[in-house]
Amino acid sequence: MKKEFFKGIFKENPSFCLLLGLCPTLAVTTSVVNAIGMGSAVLFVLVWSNIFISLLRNVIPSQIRIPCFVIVIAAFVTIVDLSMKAFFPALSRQLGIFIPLIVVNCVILGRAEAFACRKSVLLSMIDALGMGIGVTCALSLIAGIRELLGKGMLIFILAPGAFITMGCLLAVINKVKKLKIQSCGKHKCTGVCS
Amino acid sequence: MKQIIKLGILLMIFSGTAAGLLVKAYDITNPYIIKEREKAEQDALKIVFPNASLFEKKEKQDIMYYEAKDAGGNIAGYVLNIKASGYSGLILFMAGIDLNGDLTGIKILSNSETPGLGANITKPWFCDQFKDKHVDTIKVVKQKDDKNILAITGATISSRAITDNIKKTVQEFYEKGIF
Repeated sequence: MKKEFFKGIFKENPSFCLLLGLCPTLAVTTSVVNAIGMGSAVLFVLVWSNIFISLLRNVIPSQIRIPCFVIVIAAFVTIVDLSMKAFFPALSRQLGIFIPLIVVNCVILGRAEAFACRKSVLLSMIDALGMGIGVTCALSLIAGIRELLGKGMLIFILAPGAFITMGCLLAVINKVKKLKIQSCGKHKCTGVCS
Repeated sequence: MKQIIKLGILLMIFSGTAAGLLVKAYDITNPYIIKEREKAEQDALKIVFPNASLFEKKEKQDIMYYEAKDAGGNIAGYVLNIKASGYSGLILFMAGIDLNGDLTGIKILSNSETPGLGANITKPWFCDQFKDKHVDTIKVVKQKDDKNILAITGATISSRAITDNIKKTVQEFYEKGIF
C-alpha cells in the first residue's frame, strides 16, 4: 500500500517519469501559486474519478469503458471548475481554460485505464493521492525555478522557459536514475529500484 | 444489435446520472458565482472612483457607463468601460474620471497578455500611476518620472494600449456630448 502511494511521487511521477499531462505542466507553471492551484485541482479530480471508476469497474462493459471514464472525469472537472469560480475567483481567472482542460489530461485517463479499472477502491484512491501529490510537487518545482529565474531572465517566464526548465530537470532526473541503476548492479540488485 | 442497444442504454444511464449531478452542483455554486461577479463589479467601481459613494448605471447612444455620485447625490464624475487591443487579445478595463478631466483610477477587468510581462498591467504599481493625472497629459515613458506613466519592462505595447485607449474613449465621450 505504501508502495502504491510513493510510486506516484518518485518512481512513476506522472510529470517527470511517465511524461503525462505535459500541456498544463508547461503552460501554468509561471508562478508557484498557479502550480499549487492546478496541482490541487488535478489531485481532487484524480482521487474522485479513480474512486468512482474503481467502484463501477464491474458495471462498465469494456467496449464502452473510455466514454464512461470521460463522463466520470468530465463531471468532476466541471464540479471543480464551478467551485473554483464560486469560491476562488482570483485563482480561477489565473488558471483560465486549463481547469476545463483537465478533462483531457492524460494523467487522469491514464490512471483510470491502467489502475482504477482493475484494482480495489482503496488501492485506487491511494494511487490517485500519490499521483496527484506527484503532479503538484512536479508543477511546484518547475514553477519555483521559473518564477525565481524569471525575475532576472524574462525568458523563463515565457513559453520557451518552460521547455528549457523541463528539459534540464529531466536530464538531471535521468542522470540520477542511471547512477542509481549502476550502483545497484554492484550489489547484485534484482533491479526493483530502477 | 442487441449488444449495441444494451451498451447504448448503459451509456445513456451514465450520462444522465452525471448530468443530474452537475445540475445539482450548478444550483449550489451559481448564487456564489453571481454574487462574486457583482461584488467584483462594485469593488472595481470603488477602486476606480474611491471618493464616490454611489454608482448609477447609465446608457446613452449605445454606450454603457456609470455616474459616480458623492454623498450628497451630486455627480462627481464618471466611470467608463474601456476596451483596448493589447499585445495578445483584448484588454477590458474601467477608468474613473472626475469633472475636471482628472483620472481617479483604473482597474483591469480581463486580459490575455503574456503572463509575467504584459499581464503585469493588473499590478497596483502600474494602475496607481494613472491616479490624479489629467487625461490629456498622460503619456507612456520608459524612464521613471512623476509626471508620466512608466511602461512595464518588456511590455511597452500593453502599457501604451491602455494609455492610448483611455484618451481615445474619453475623447469619444466628449464628442458625443455625454460629459
